This record gives sequence, structure tokens and C-alpha cells, in this order.
Amino acid sequence: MRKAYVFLKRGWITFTSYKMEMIIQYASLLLMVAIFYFVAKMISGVQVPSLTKYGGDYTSFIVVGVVFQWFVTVSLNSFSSSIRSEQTMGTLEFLLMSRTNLSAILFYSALWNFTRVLLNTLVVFLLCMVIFKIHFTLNLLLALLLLLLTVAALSGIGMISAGMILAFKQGDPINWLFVTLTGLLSGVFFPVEVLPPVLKSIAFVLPTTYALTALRETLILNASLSSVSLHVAVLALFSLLTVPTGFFLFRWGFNKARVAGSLAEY
Amino acid sequence: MIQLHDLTKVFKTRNQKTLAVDGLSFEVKQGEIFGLLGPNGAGKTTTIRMLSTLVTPTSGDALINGWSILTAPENVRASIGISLSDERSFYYRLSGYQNLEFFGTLQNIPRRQLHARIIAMLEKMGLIEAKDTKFMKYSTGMKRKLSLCRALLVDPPVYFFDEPTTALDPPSAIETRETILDLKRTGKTILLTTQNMHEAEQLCDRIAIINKGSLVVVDTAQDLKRKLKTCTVQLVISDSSLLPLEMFQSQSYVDQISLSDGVCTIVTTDKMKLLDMLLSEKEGIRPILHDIRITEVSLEDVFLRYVKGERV
Repeated sequence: MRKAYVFLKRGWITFTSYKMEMIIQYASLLLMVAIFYFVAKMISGVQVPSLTKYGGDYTSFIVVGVVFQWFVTVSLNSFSSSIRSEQTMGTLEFLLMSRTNLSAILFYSALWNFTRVLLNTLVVFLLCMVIFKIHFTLNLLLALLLLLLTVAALSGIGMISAGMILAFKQGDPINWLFVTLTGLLSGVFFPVEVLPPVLKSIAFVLPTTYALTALRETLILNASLSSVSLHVAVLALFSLLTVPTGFFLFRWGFNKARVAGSLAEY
Repeated sequence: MIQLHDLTKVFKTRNQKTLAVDGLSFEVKQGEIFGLLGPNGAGKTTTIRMLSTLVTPTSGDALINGWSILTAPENVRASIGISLSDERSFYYRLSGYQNLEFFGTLQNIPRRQLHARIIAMLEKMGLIEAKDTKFMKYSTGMKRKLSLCRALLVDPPVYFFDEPTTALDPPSAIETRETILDLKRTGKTILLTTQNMHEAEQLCDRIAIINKGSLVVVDTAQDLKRKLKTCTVQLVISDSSLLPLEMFQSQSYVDQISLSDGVCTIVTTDKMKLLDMLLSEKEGIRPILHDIRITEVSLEDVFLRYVKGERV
């Protein structure tokens, strides 16, 4: 726990030392929610059948989608970006030479990015509920379980990407593809139901589609665990496949960089 | 305590292979300060990186505190403290104290012990006043000192120092050397690289000179100098036209001779014979001799001779 704490402390000190960026970031969150709110207000008189399934309110629909997309992005990118950042700072070798094992270093390095997304999420939900009076049912435990499984499932891919950064000094296209496909096909900005059949069939191959559908049903419609059990099972299965693969390929990238003598190169 | 067995590193790029370290074998005994000298690109830093498990050797192995760098890298890492020559390697927006707290925690140092050690190290290296200053505001010398503090936070049996006094001002360099000698006094084994011959001579029990990745020689500084068997004798004379240069050159113990601005410089392998000849009643040059200066061979001379590949 002490190690997690010092990584978080490092992230917090660095984050808060850029005061202007911090202010802009939180102002942007307020602005974002306001934009969604007014767009929703504009279309409030219009019947959107595909939204009905999610309670008919566009603000809550889009807010859950956008927050979910943050988690997707951070799960996929934070491992590789943390490794790259340690390389550019010249600190990676000293982390790897410490008495902390490789997997723990990878996990702790990415911890601040996840924490920051979690903080932003809390701020957005607070803004929605306090300022814009948007109602969420907050089945908190189930929502956290779904987020945790989403993060785990995608972190495996993120770890593969971090291994690629160590081995080849550049990211791999899988990350980009996942983030893009999630934005387009998993229902972040619009329900999957509006997609043409071909894209819809691709959407249901992506674990993010299951995760986002289940998350919306949980947060907006107060769904129970039994009603989203299929989604939970898909995410758990995906996690079981990707996490060990991710660790394996990250270690492979690490060993390849040690052979090339390029751990600190970027 | 440190044993290298035919340690070799070949770096491969698309078009070429570079032999960085070529079959290094030597042993560093417990409590010894061992210096690794060599010109730039000789393979010193690559050797230290292999020994600290950051780079995998192409062939060969090394044992640190009994652990193989190939089969037990975790145990090797737990046995070493290291300061590399790159003075970055810290978080710019964290203070010196916060950086040491961060790295000390990763080294599993208990919290209370860690605070005391950080303060002690910062005091020892003269950084206590700047403990709350952000690392990005540190001077190059301060960054170097902080790197040494980090290496000294842990208490392992073996330390690696890669050019520990580079960028330090003379008082700080002296303090750093004293710190290294203190470590030796407590039985620690130290492998250091340096470009500073005076430092190598002052600190190291034994010195290895490596060139183009290969080990050229290992010995004490004293014996290395003795092996060179030469010294320089300078004669300050009043009339150079009376100097019997040809007679000097014909002596087997005279290696080189040169004359410039009334000073004759002779490199000899036997200064006593040379002095006998110079001062003898019959052949001597006493009437024209104003002064004699004798310079013993330095470690720098030894280094240059070995690195140039001249026979000793």
C-alpha cells in the first residue's frame, strides 16, 4: 500500500503543480456537461425510440457514454504512456532496479491515470446531479464491478501496448483501433441500435459494447446483477484472456529491451 | 563478491553488430574498491549496466554476492546500490526529499527508517538546505549528489558508481570520495568507473583498464606504474650546443630524448644509471647543468600507454 501511495502522491504533486492546466481541466468538465445538458434540452420534445430503452434522457445517456470512454482510453493507454513517460524522464531504469517487481511497477505507474479518471468521473456525476438535477440510480457496487471488469479486460491490451513500447519504442495500432471502434460502435454517443446491421454485428464482438450497455442499464435503469449477468460473463472471460496475455507480452518486451540494451531509449 | 566470467555484449542493429564488451573476466574481492578505467566507448558503462541487470549479456555470466545476473536478477538487484552517470532519472516536479522518499519506498525501506536515512544522506551530501526544492531547480552538481544519496539509501553489500564525481565541484568531489572510502571501511565492495586518474589512484585498491570492450590489464595503481618502468628526467642547461645528445641516445636505458628552450627531456627506464652518467666526472655535463627535474610515471601515462596499445 505504501508503494501505491508514493506513486499516487507523485502523480498528485505533478498534477497540482500545473495550476492552470488543472483549472482548465475542471472548467472543461463543467462545460462538457453543460453542452450535453443543452443538447438534451433541445431534443427533449423529440421522440427518439432508441433512447427509450435507456430512460429517454440524452444527458444521462451521453454522460455515462463519455465517462465510459475515458475508462476505455485510460485502460488502453495508461500503461504504455506511463512507461514512455518514465523513459523520457530517465527514471525507468531506476524503477526496474528497485526491489519492486516488474508487474507491480507496471500497475503502480498507471495508478495515477486511473485515479485521475475516477476523480473526473466523480466530478462529472456531482455536476450532473447538483447543478443540472440529472438523476442517476447509482447502483454503485454493480457499476464499480462493471467498470473494474472493463478496466481489467482492456488493461490486458494496454499491457501488450506497453510491451510494444519497450520492445519497439512505439505504440501499436491495436490501441488506436480499440479506442476508435469503441467511440464509433460501442454506443458512446448514440445507441448501438441505430447502427446498420453490419456495424451492429461488429459492435457486439467488442467487449466495450457489453460493458457500456450494462453500465447504462445499471446507472440509468437501476438494473440488477442478474439482468446484466451475460455482460458480466463476457467481460470476465475477456479479462481472463487478455490480462495473462498482457503480462506475458509486457515481460517479453522488457526482456527484448534488456537484450537490445534499450530500456531507457525512446 | 563480484565475479565476471567471459562477459560479452554485442549490440545488434539492422545493419551492423557492435562488440561493446568482449569476454571480460575479473574478480572484485569483498571490501575492495575496484576501478574500471577506459576511454570513452570502452564498454565501462555497458559492463555496469550488465552487472546491474539492465542489459542482458550476449554470452558469459557474472556473480554478484553469489547471485547470477542471468538466473537470479532479483537477488542481484537486492544486493546492489547504484549511481549512474546520467543525472536526470528523477522526477522534475518533486523535491529532492520527495524523490528520495519515492525511490526509498520502492526499495522496501521501512517508513521511519527511510525518513532518518534521507535526512542523514542529504546532510552528508550537503543538500539538506535544498531538500524541499524541486529537482528541476537543482544544479548539475546537486543532481549528481542526489543520485549518490539515492544509491546510499539502501544498505547492500555491493555498490556500483558510474563516474561518481563528474560535474562535482572540488569540495563536493572530495566529500564524495570520502563517502566512498567510508563505505569501504564498513566492508562494502565497490566497483566504480572514472575518467579521473587521480581519483582512481586515490580510491581504488585495484584498477582494470579496458579498451574496445577488452580487458587490457588489472593491477594496483602502484604495480601498474612500476610495470611501465619509465620516468622523465628534465635537464635545465646553459648551453645546449655542448650537450652530447648522440651519446645519450646510444644508451639502452634512454627511450626518448628531446631538446627545447634550453630544457632537455629524457624518458628513461633507469633513472639511476642516467643520473650516474650525467653527473660523472668524465662524461658528465655538470658545467652546463643548472637544474634537474625528475617526474615519476603517472597513472595517466600508464593509461595512455595501455590504451594506445603500446607494449609495456
